[in-house]
Amino acid sequence: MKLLARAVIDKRSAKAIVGVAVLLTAAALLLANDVEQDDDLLAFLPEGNADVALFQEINTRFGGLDVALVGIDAPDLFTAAFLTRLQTTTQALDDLEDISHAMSIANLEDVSPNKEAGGIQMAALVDAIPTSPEAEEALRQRVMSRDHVVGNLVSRDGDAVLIYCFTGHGSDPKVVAEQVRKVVLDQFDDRAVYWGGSPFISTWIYSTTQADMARLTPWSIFAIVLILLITFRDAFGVLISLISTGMGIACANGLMGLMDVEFNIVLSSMPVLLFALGSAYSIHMLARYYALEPQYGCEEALRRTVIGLGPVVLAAGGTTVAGLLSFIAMDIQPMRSFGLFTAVGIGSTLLLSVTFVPAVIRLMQLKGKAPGLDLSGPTVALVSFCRRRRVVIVPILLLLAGGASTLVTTVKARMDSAAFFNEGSPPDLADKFLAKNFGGSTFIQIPVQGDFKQPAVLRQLRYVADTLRLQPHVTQALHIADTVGIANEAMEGVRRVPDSSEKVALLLGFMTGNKGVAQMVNDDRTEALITLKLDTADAAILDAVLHDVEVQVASLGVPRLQVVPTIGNEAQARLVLQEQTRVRLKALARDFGVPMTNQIFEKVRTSLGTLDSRPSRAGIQARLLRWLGSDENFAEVPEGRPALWTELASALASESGPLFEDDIRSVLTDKLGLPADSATVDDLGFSLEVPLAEAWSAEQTQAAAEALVRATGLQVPGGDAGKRFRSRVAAALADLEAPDYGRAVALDADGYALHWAVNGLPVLYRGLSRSVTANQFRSLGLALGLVLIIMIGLFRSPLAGLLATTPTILTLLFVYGGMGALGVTLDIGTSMLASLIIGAGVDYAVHLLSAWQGNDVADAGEQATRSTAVSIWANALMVAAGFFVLTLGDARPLQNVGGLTAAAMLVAGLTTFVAIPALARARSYRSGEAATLALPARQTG
Amino acid sequence: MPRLLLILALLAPSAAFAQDGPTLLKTMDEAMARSDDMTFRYDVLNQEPGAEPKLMQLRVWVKDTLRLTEFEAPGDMKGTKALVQGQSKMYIYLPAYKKVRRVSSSLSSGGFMGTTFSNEDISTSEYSPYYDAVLSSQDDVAWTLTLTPKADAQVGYSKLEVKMAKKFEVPLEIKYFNSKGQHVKTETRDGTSCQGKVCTAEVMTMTDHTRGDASTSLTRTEWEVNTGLDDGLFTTRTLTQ
Repeated sequence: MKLLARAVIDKRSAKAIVGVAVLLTAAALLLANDVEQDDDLLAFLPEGNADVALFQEINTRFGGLDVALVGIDAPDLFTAAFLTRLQTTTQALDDLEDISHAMSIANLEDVSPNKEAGGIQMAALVDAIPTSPEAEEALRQRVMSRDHVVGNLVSRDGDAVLIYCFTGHGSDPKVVAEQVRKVVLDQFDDRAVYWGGSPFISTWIYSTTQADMARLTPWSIFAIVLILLITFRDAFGVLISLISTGMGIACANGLMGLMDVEFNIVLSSMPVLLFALGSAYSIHMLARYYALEPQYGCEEALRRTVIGLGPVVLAAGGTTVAGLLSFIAMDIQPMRSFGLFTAVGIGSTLLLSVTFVPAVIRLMQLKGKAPGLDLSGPTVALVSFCRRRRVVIVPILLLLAGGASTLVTTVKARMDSAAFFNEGSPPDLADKFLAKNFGGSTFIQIPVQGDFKQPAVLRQLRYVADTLRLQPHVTQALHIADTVGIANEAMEGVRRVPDSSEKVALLLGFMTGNKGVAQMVNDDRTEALITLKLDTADAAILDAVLHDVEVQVASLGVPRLQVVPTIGNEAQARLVLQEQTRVRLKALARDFGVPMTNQIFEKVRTSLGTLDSRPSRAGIQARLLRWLGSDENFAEVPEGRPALWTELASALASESGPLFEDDIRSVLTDKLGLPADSATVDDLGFSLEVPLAEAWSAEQTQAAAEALVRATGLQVPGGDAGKRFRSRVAAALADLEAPDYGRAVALDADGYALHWAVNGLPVLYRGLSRSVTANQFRSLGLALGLVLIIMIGLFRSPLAGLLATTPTILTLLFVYGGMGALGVTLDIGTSMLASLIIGAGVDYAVHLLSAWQGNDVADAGEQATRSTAVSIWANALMVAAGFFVLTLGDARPLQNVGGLTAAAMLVAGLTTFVAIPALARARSYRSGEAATLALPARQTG
Repeated sequence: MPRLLLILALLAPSAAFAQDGPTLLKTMDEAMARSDDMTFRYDVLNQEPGAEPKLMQLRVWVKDTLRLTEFEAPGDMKGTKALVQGQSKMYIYLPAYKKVRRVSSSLSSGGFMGTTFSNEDISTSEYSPYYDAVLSSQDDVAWTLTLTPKADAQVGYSKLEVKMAKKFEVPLEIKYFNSKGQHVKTETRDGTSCQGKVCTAEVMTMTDHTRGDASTSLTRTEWEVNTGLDDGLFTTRTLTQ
């Protein structure tokens, strides 16, 4: 320090110091230009965490994070005016370069039976814009009858729509969000529009934080400057302080540029942090110089300041650097970057405060002056009071600390969407809109590995999904078995997983390339995803739901499934298939809002084996007649036999079971009067077998469904919804006749291996909460340890070191206790607090104890307070003001960090002037020449 | 006499001399329909950005506007047949279901089996009934025609830009534009070769610019012309056989 003091006092070397500092800053600024912005919010997920790795894998494979959702209030949904706008918008979104596919009811493809020609009709769901109230009502009926559309693309009340925008590979979420917003608002600027999905949420969090920082940083700096000006009434001193801090920021940014480190959302708060914390060091140097200069003149005052206060400032700054460096113990990469480079910024500012600032003072020959805002009088009174009443103060502090400790234990680490945005913000409104109209926007994902071409495997997947669908708050379970069922309905008229793996493979083959399907199963059909939609984003409820889901998956997610033929194993097949069907029926009842009490469910259980499922002969006949008259029947009616199809349908319809090809041929030969080898008999004989079997099966399951409804007293709704419910029940009952079933077997047995996991944002939030808690302890422990070592080194006494850290420990307890009392949770932002408080808060105790010199303990306290109160309060106030400004923004993390840091700094100042006088036992805590060199002349109150 | 023949030949109506759009388009349609029938085998490579390429093998029989396609690979799809009898009428035979399904469709867009070719792209065998044409430019190799839909045409594009080979009179490249006039797809037809007057491309590649330049290439591995395909091949009865 003596060498440094000589260097800054010497005019030539002072010039050199200033020159080198300016050159280094210029170089750093050049390098800082290369620093780029990293907008990836996923980078904040803890590293080395299996859940995070799985989440990223799932979303890479199934693309769940790549969907932007646009919700629109649409009380006039089925009018020509609205649909035209929706069509235009969907088309325009689909045309965007960064959107691979946009989907709404306006462009949704629909498959329905072709009642006139037979087969299926593929058309747009909205095939024509309605031009009359009747046409509007017809369209409403058509759309609302599509169960896979309602609740996904149209709200259940038909008053809101959702547009899905699947983003292109490698698209920038910000660009996507901006483009989609522009296109939608072109048509719907007069509507309430809600922006959901990852691209909008991540963009909102980033843009809000950046906008807040851009808007509030100048105000924050203004508040800091104002407090400095009021305190010191010295524009030049304030300028020097700001310049040195700015140079420190440039150094940190320059190093980032040099090391190719990108700016992240947390690092964007670095300027405010550095201005608030970093300017303290030059302030302390200036304040002490101003106090000494009138007595000693410029050079001697500077020498005394550098030698006497330099080590103290370095030690105090060192604690802040240590606090920030403790972030390297965290498992979140952007937080480590934040800690490291903010520490570099603070370290640079610290070095400049003992080199550049004194050099400038020397060159400018600054004159000493009294502070403008001197709070030392009341502070001395407080210190004296605490010293005199220490017998009372110490127990009070202990009581308060004890109370705060109790409250600290109530602070919960909780990460959910509320950690990122406030009530009433656009993402919050979108969440509420999606919860109200579309069953929510929080998803639990269950990735499953297995062979999804096997019907038994698909039925097991659906069984687990149905069971989970029945959990509270689960509004929907999306999975490939349902989609295969829908495709199968187009092929053989019944919405169920078909009975052969060839059929499943064929259906999946036809759906290759479909974006919706790609979100449920991979192209190899070896990995599938069950997506549970939840109607809540509340972390406490999510935790409970997640726990239930994990328990169910652990219980039902069998690791190996052996496919066993039903024939020969009837008893076990019945058990398995009936259990799956019961759960299926309960899930269907929930989907359709049909009450299924435990009593009814029990009746279902007892009824399934005894249902009267005799098919209606008339029904079989009608179905067969429809097929015979369709284009799918390529046999032609022989001349002169106009009623032949009716005769055939009547002859082939049988209640006792479907006829097979040979029986059909004999009926044909008989009815047609043609030889068995005629082309017509051949054609019909071949092609009638399947439609006849389908007609028989459909009538049989329909009869069973009616019997079930009668037996259980299910309150089936009327109208189209009731018909659809009955039809779905019939399809579910058809599974009872499956030719095989899945039997859970040991891992080493033959069979299909299955691997189940539970993932999704709720899992990540839980993992992040655990990570935040662990990080908190890790960084807190490291910071406290480093600070204690610095303190013991500075004061060369473990007891003095402990005394210096006592105010900080109390501050931590009070702030975290306050968080507990106010219900503020620990999240990524608030988890930074402890290290900041330790680093910055301990400065006050360092300065006070360093100046602790007197005739007795009381005198030492008074003198120390007089020489440090101004700078300590100035620093506490400016840090508090600088951070408080951040609470005025919209970004929730900044609000929390800003408010709590502001409070913490004021509490740290107060506890320093209360706890140290009450606990100090010595007249001095530093020894040697440096200890007294920088102390101003004795003052008396 | 030879001189007279030369003069007659020069005066004969020829695309090279009748360089107006409609005529060129008709010439192109005719060039694509010079055969009575054709049979192809194709290797199909579908490449989505960021995904593994997918392979399929198809056998295709074409006669007039009728088209029968059979999947030979992948195994899951093997034996599946599709009979196209017009832009909106198709029959498919699904071997696993042992049945013929009639599929009527009013959809023109949407990828065919996950490829970048839409049903309309696949089934369009002539352009002049649906589009008006203007000759916009030409060079040594090709004419460039700008096609816009006729008033009553039900097509999925607002404009096509077709590069028509001067040598073979078949398309070399087709650019597709959506309703907003944005260039959304490009189809290239490379390695055109001829059997007699019948010329087709060896490799057809459709790139979808709205899907991150996802592409599908059809590489011709077999090609037969005028083998005398029977009309009976293009019936639903044949699908089941």
